[in-house]
Amino acid sequence: MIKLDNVTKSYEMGPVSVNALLGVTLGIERGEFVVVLGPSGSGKTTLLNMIGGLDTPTSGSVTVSHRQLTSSGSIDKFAFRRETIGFIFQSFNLFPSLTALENVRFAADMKGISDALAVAKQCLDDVGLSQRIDHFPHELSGGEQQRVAIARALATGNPVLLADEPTGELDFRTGIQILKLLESQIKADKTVLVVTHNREISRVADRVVELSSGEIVSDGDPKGGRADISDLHW
Amino acid sequence: MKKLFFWLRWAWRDLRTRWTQVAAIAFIIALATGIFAGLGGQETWRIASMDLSYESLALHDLKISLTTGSLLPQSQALAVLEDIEGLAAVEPRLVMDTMVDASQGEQTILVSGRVIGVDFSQGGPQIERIHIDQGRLQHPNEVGVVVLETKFSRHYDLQPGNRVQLMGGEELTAVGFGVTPEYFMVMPPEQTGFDMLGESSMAIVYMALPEAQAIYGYDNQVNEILIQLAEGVDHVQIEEEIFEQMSAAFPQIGIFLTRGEDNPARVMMYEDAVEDQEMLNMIAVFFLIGASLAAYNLAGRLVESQQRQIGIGMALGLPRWKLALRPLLVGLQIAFFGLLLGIPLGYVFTQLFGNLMVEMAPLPFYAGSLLHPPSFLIAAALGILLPLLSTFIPVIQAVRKEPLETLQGHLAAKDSGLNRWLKGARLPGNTFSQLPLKNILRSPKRSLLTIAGIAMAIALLFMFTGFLDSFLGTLDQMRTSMLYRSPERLVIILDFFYPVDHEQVDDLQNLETADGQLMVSTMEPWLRLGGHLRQGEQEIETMLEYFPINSQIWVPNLLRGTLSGSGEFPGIILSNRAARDLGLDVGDVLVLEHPFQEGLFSFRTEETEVQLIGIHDSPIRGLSYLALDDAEFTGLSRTTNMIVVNPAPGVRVDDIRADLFYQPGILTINATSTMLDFMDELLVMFVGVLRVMQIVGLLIAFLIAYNSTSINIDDRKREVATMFAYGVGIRKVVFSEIGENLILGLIGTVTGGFLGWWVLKQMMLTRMETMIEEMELLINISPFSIIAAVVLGVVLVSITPIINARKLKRIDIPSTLRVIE
Ligand SMILES: Nc1ncnc2c1ncn2[C@@H]1O[C@H](COP(=O)(O)OP(=O)(O)O)[C@@H](O)[C@H]1O
Ligand SMILES: [Mg+2]
Repeated sequence: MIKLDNVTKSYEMGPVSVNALLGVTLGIERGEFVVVLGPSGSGKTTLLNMIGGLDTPTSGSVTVSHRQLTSSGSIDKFAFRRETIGFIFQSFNLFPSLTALENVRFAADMKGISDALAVAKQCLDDVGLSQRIDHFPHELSGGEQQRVAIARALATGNPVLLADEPTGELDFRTGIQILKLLESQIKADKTVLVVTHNREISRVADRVVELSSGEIVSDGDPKGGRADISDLHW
Repeated sequence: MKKLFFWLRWAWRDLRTRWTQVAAIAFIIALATGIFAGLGGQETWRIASMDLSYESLALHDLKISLTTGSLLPQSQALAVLEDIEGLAAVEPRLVMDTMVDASQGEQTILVSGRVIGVDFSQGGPQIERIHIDQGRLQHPNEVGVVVLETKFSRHYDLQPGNRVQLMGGEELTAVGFGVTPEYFMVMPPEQTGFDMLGESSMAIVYMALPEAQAIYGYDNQVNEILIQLAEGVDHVQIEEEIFEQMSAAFPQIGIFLTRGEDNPARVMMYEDAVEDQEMLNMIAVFFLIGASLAAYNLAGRLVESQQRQIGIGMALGLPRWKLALRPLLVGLQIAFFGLLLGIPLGYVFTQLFGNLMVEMAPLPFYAGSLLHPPSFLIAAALGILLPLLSTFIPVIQAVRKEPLETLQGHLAAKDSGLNRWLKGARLPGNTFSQLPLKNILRSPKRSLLTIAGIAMAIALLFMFTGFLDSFLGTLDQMRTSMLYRSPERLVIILDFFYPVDHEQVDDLQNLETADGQLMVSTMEPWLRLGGHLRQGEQEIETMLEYFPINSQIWVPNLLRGTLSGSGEFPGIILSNRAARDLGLDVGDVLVLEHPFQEGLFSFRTEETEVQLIGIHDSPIRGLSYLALDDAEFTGLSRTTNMIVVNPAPGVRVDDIRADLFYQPGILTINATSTMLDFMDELLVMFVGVLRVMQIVGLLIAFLIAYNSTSINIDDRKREVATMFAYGVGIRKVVFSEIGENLILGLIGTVTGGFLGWWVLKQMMLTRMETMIEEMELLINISPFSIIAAVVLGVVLVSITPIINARKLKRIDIPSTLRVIE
């Protein structure tokens, strides 16, 4: 589903160049739930943006859903994102002038789904927010806003969900709920990538990709063993 | 000092990131301050220059004139005045209307003219002195030379030494071109309502009084006496005395006494100066308001984006004034750039306007310069204060918040604004097509400011459009009224009253072309007399034409009433405006003051009661009509001084003109087509000026919309980046912005349209009515203009997002979405 081959991203800062990613090679199968772990500045966001087609590598190749996303590739990134990716952001990035329902419906409308309203309602129901659909984002708590954001990503029906620090703004209990929600999406045959800098959180995943200074330092079972979400402490 | 420099540089950095917005606001401020700085002193300058010119050339205090056709024996008249105390100078003149042939080489110049016989003896004239612009003044005893009025001469590019010919064949040499106070602005001899068009169609010829008397065979006769009063005399008392003495000495003759300060051209010039100033100030104020709204908008946005920094500053305990300093400095910088551009712009306006005035209404002397330091200072003060003030309000609001309030709300979602109103409402379309409306409701204050700015600009646009349309509409009505029958007709004005069967009148019928063809197909003798209409306290000057009721050529087209009366009173037909001003309706009786012929050359003024029987369709107030059959009360029935002629097919007006020029007794020959040419000339000038104002209005609407769009994009960067992340294309985002501007533009344009229409109506009703007394202005905005204004306003406002699309393209999605912690 997702293939990165020797991907490097460097920024020229005057005489020095900073490598946000360095020779990253990675493959992710359809229906996998993967956590990307690493300290701040290790290149997690850059990696996610590569996969999401928001950023292009300096060298190497990125293939998502059989589409080549390298800089030389001539595919329409807008169309690619529209058809493949659902983004979930740390700061939610909901549209403040739209209600929860409208925010979710927006994604369905954008995809040209004919029954957008019903789809949006279903998605909000799936994230457990059917009671609050007519509220504006500023009337919702952080956890609720993030759920709306997830519902919005789900409403696109796209196969890949990319979540960059989705729990960063949330308290422990809420964070766990959000993670559970994301993990449960693999049942719907989605490929889910979650970024975090919290090692404890990474233990919920079957597979953890650990980054340090732009390089993959480990890939596999979570260190300290896979834990049930209810056993986590952070 | 170093500290201030630091703050300035910091503020400068804020500015640089928004330089297009800043430039747009500064430009509007520059326009406003430019107009104000450059033209704020035009009234002062014009009035001072007119005062100086009138003073230097000794405008008459009083003028004694006579009923048309009357003459006074010069020495007897002067003897009467000699006995009256308090007269500083007395100047007899002979003023004769005539035709002048100033043709040079290929160029035919056949125009109405006026010979003014002036007393050059003893270094005269003392009153109404001639200011020579080119060539020289004639010597006291020089014969066969004249001075021509400057504006006429310049118009036709005449040179000193050129020959001119008076009707009847007198050949004269123009030795110089000059001007007298009475003719600083030349008005045509007839009441046409187009007072500014005199100069090209009216040749004033100054010659020595004895020569003029000799040419016309009026030895020792005059028909005008100018008077200058001594210092400190009681004007009213002396006017009464002059009037009584003269009337007693010449009981057969109608005597009129008018004041120099009431000279119509003079009154008009002074009023123009005042009214132009009001208009210019108003435009400047509109611009300043627009610019202030824009500055307020930008400052609000700046403060918002610095809110977090302000909050941190507060938390650190920085005093509020220090926090306010940086955004305030931005206001100062905008003001600075506005001024930097506005002052030179003002200078350019000064030059342009000065040249325009010298070109259009030249004066012999100018007092000082159009550059008016107080106006410059006021403009500078306004240009600095307004943007500062506009920045001040949002800044104060921001620093008065509690630190916590300011620090919060960064990551938490922003308020939804007025969108709560829409909660539960079922809107048509999908969420994307509803976005424009929701975005507008989200920041209602900014939306309102934008609408207000656009409305202001569109109001300005509408006002000018309305002016233009009302003016065009009035002209159109005039045209219709003139052309509705016999558009080819000629009106020949005779120099005196002739019996209708006089051979000279008959001769007209028999005019032949070179190949023996008759030039005239129909000919009718009419009568034309000046007079006054009176009803109670109200009095109006009128030019009354007595027409044959069965005219084959032309009768007035009536809006109401009938052409012939019931018989008890003579029936008069007035213009709508005259009837309104006099408070009359069809059927009412009014008093007509008119000349009555007593002897061959003596007329006196009489009053006759007449009945209003009809209202004609010309907007010219002074035009009135009365059936010839009813003209007995003038003592002039069976005589004529106006001949209306329909030329034979294929005969040109100029042919008849040329043929008639050497016929004695003819004063002017007017074709309807000439009148229409005047109108067109006038139109070109007016339309030009108003078009410029329209373009400026549109430009401002555009700048305001541009700014608001640009601010909106800054404001919603994060949302736009989110949309991009979800694969919504740039084009779709631009469309959404266009939709938003379309709504704002429509509301702004419609509001502005109504505002402009209202202001126009107020101005027309209160100001124009008194300003343009001679005409009925038909207040009007044509549907085409409305559509054009709306389309232009809305379209210009709507396309600004396309120009701002660059900005969208430059959004760096990852860094916009990144959480900076
Ligand atoms: N636009 C940029 N210009 C320069 N350096 C950048 C840019 N974006 C990211 N970086 C650098 O790349 C590295 C990785 O950044 P990022 O992927 O955001 O890390 P993470 O998400 O793991 O905190 C960091 O050192 C960061 O400073
Ligand atoms: Mg990151």
